[in-house]
This record gives sequence, structure tokens and C-alpha cells, in this order.
Amino acid sequence: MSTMRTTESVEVLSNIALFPGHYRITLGWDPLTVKPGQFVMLRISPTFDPLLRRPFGIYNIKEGGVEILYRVVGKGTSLMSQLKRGDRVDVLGPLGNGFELTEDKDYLMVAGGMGIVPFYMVAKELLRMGKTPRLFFGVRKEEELILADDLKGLGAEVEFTVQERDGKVVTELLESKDIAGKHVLACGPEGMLEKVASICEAKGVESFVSLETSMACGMGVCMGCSVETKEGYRLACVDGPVFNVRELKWKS
Amino acid sequence: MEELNTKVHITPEFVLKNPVMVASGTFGYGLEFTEFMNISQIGAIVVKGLSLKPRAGNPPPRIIETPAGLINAIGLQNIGVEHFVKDKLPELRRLGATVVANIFGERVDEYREVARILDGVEGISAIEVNISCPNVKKGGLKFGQDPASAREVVAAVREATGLPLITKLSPDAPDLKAMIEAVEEAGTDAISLVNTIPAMAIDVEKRRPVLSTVTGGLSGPAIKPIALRLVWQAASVAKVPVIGIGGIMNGRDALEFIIAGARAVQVGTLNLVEPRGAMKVIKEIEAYMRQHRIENIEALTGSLVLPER
Ligand SMILES: Cc1cc2nc3c(=O)[nH]c(=O)nc-3n(C[C@H](O)[C@H](O)[C@H](O)COP(=O)(O)OP(=O)(O)OC[C@H]3O[C@@H](n4cnc5c(N)ncnc54)[C@H](O)[C@@H]3O)c2cc1C
Ligand SMILES: Cc1cc2nc3c(=O)[nH]c(=O)nc-3n(C[C@H](O)[C@H](O)[C@H](O)COP(=O)(O)O)c2cc1C
Ligand code: FES
Repeated sequence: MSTMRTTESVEVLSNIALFPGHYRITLGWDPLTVKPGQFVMLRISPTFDPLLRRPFGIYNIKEGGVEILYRVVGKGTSLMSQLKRGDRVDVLGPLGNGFELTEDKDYLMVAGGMGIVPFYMVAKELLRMGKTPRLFFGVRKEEELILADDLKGLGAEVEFTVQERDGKVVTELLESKDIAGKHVLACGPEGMLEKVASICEAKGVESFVSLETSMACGMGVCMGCSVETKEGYRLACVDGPVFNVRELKWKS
Repeated sequence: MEELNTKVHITPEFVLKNPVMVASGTFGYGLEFTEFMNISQIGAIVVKGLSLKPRAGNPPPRIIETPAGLINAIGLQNIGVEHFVKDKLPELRRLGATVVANIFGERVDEYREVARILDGVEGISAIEVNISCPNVKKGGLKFGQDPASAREVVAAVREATGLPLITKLSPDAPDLKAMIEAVEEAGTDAISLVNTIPAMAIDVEKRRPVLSTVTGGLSGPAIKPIALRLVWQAASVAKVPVIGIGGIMNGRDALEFIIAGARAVQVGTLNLVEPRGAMKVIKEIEAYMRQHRIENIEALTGSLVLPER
């Protein structure tokens, strides 16, 4: 096990709308250590409706709080969007393996939409290592571009594609670039990740993707979050969510 | 008030320190929870279903949440009985956990073989026989739906081991009474029910089933009233102790099952949502006992007051 998992009731410090349907929530939680790419399971309501916790990537850790960025897609996230300062939620984490970052490698981040979440902490870690973080960021709508503002604020080099504006997706950007020698880290919708995997394979570069599966427990107990790999099923919540694409068997 | 007595007797030798067990498949091999609690304080830990050989389980997607419930199609993924005994059991013993091995097979011999491997192994307190598995020899009909096959399985396991035996019944047995009589005759020491209830969900956009196996098993609060009714009916016909399972999320839910006739209960889905949930259920039962001045939990078993007619 990498880090110490805990479950505790924590206070909501703030919950701010970024643009329609997208929020940043700050929780008064102080985990011992968190690796970039790890996640938490949140119990949003003290009742059992919704029944299960919901998984969210850890966006940032700062003095006295942990930030999460989320998009409203259903019951749990819509309840979450109504939380106010002083309300309490129960957090279980940190969970999962996270991205393995080493000094001797050169990284390129590729994100689609909310897939940007793990990369703020990755970028901070890369800066700490004296590297310039580089991100290819694809969004559907122009308004989503503000999701990259924090990374730009850190000094990351960010290149965009806006599908509704210029009809391009981020994998086309990746395809068009010389990425020899890079280690590609990707997070986003499954279709995008599969494309990233095949581009990287064709270009002969290593790539690591953070996968989303449905999860019940988040801690390796229910075996509900299986991912097909070349060595059989692995669990996204403990063996992942980050996998080397060479291990994976894609659906299509 | 005297000290509370929360001990429950499943058999004269198999005595739990309290009536709250954790259900198979929802507590891993127990060791996943050591960061959250002292696992020796749980009545008993029923580990993930064990088969003779390791099993890979079903393709994804394996789970879907539905209102107040969870449908799963894990497919009994497990590390196999031998690996469990070698790599997990020693640590469970060291931690002082009360361990019940849940076992299953696709043929009668498989059940027998798994039970034989577990027989006499230090640290196993009882075996729970999951008969909700499809009987491959009988064209996939579940052992748990046919009293004659269930009897055969339990008799084979009984022959293979002297350990206390709990037979875990499916909620979809066509004749519950006949099923209970069959497993009692075959020598079970207790029965537990219910396993998950067959269920499904459909993605209307794709017009496809959500789960890879089309159907799965429903657990959680959604099944509690059905499970409670089955446990009550089972307790009224069973000669052996009954262990109640299904949608227990707090102490009051557990008490409903106990009052209906359950000697002990198992909490399942709750563990997935609240790693410390079982401990909370225990504390809430104790609080109820204090409040109602009940010194011995076994006095509550089957204490349901029925309306006069
Ligand atoms: C490891 C991990 C990290 C995640 N990190 C984030 C994050 O940082 N920010 C964020 O906004 N979301 C994140 N998600 C997704 C988030 O968990 C889901 O959006 C959330 O659980 C939906 O809950 P709900 O109750 O609102 O929706 P539900 O009512 O459960 O579902 C509504 C709809 O959304 C779909 N849906 C549910 N879960 C997912 C999922 N995991 N992926 C795609 N579609 C889904 C359902 O199929 C359904 O159509 C992450 C998921 C995982 C597994
Ligand atoms: C993810 C999951 C896995 C399960 N695996 C097993 C199993 O291996 N063997 C078994 O007998 N029951 C298994 N069950 C059934 C539970 O032990 C229990 O009978 C059922 O979930 C009902 O209780 P609950 O509503 O409290 O969860 C599983 C249930 C779930 C949710
Ligand atoms: S979500 Fe339960 S094992 Fe991964």
C-alpha cells in the first residue's frame, strides 16, 4: 500500500461555480501524503441516497484544504453542487496508485475536459523537479478553457483544441507533434484515451492513462471496477486508476 | 444494569462475541479493513467466496447503482482456497479475527474438495456454503433453486469437514420450506439468507443491458423488506439458527432481523459505503439493549409480537 487511507467527516470550506455545471469544492481535509493522480471516494449525503460514494480526482492540496473540480452529471454531483460552506461530507482516501514521476524522464500531459484534474498536481511536481510542464488540452466548448488557467498560472505551456470552435480534437494535436522521447500522461474520456494509446504506440512512445470505471468501494474490496489487461483483470481503484497502456486490452 | 451480553450461539462450539457478521464479497479477505478498525471486534468475518481454483470473474461492467441498491455481477472472482489459507489466513489469525470461509463450486465434488482443504485448518471457525452458484452438471440451474441438489452439496460438505456449517440460501428458491428441510437433513448447522436478488438494468440510449452478464444480483436497502420477510418465514420453519442478511444499514435494521427470528445478522453493501459500518451497527444494537434494559441479545431473537387474530 502506498499511502495511509482514512475515512473522516470533513467540512466544506467553499463550493464555487466555475461555469455552468462545473464547480470547485474545497474540503477541510488534511491527508498525510497524496500522489498526483490519486482520488477520493466522497459520501455526499449522510443518508444512503445515493447509496454509494462517488469517486473524484484530487485536484490540489493547499494549506488546510483539498480541492476537487467536478462536473454535474447526475444525482450525486447535483447534490454536491448544493453544498454550502460549513456543510459536511465524508471523505475516504487518498486512493489509487497515481502517476509515477521520475527526474530522468520527460513528460507530456494530454487532457480532455475534466480529464485535466490530475494534471495540476502533476505540473506542480514537475516544477519541483525543475521541468517545464507541457499540456495538450482538448475541450468541447470554449468556456471550458478556464479549467487550464491554474496550470497556466504555474507557468505550464498549454496548447488547446476547442472542438466546437475549430472542429479539432486534442488527439489530432498529439498526432501532429513530434513527441519522440516523451512519456505521455493522459486523462479524459475513454475514446480519447484509446486514441492516445494508439498514437503513442505508433510513434513508439510510452504512455500512461488514468481510467474511469464505475466503482462501489474504491478500496479493492468489491471487485466491481475491473479493467481488462493482458494479464487478466486488474482493479481500477487499487491497481489503477493509472495504467501503462501496454498492459491494457481495449474494447474496440 | 449488568454488563450487556451480546454473545450469540450459532452452535454450542461456534459462539460469536456479538451478532454482527460481515457478508461475503463485501469485506474482501478482511485485511483490507485493518486501517479502519480492529477487525477482531466484528462478530465474524465471512470472507469473499472461495473456489478450488482462482477465478477471474466476469468482464466489465460489473456493477451499477440503482435506487437504494447495487446490482453486481462480479462472477465470484477470488484467489482460490489454497492461496487464501497460505497468504491471508495467518494474518487474520494474528489479528484475532473470527473467520468464516464462504465456499462455492460448479460441481458437488468441487464443494467437497474446498471443504476438505479447509477442514482442520487453524483459524477457520465455520464454513458458509454458497449454493447460489449455477450447477454446471444440471444445465446451469442454481443448486439453491433445487432442494435435491442443495441436499447433495451440503451432504458432501458435511462429510468432508467437522467445522460448523452455515448454508447460504438464495432468495429465489421456489419452495423455501422444502429447501430448508433439505439442507437441515443434509446436516447444516445453520442457514443464512438472503444472497442477492436476481435483477437487471438497461441503458436506454444503447438499448443494451448495463452489466456484461445481462443480469446480476441486487443488494442494499432496496432488498431489505423482502429479505426480512424471507428471514421471518425461514425462522418460523427452521430447526437450526437463522442468520439474517439483506440491506442492513444500521442497528435498527439489524434489530428488525433479530426480532423476526435471526440469531445473528450479516451486513454487506454497508461495508462498501462505510468501512466502519459494521462497528456502528454493533454500537447501535448495544445502545438499544441499554435503552430497553435487555441484558442478553439472544432474548430478542424471534421476540416479534404478532397481532392477535
Ligand atoms: C477515479 C475517478 C476519478 C474521477 N474524478 C472525477 C473528477 O475529478 N471530477 C469529476 O467531475 N468527475 C470525476 N469522476 C467521475 C465521477 O465519479 C462521476 O461523474 C460521478 O460519480 C457521477 O455521480 P452522479 O451521482 O452525479 O451521477 P450518476 O447518477 O451516478 O450518473 C449519471 C450519469 O453519468 C454517468 N457516469 C457515472 N459515473 C461515471 C463515470 N465514472 N464516468 C463517466 N460517466 C459516468 C452515468 O452512467 C450516468 O449516465 C471520476 C471517476 C473516477 C472513477
Ligand atoms: C459486490 C458483492 C459481492 C458479493 N460476493 C459474494 C460472494 O462471493 N459469496 C456470497 O455468498 N455472497 C456474495 N455477495 C452477497 C452478500 O454476501 C449478501 O448476501 C448480499 O449482498 C445481501 O446483503 P446486503 O444487502 O447487506 O449487501 C456479494 C455481494 C456484493 C454486493
Ligand atoms: S471499486 Fe470496489 S474494488 Fe474497486
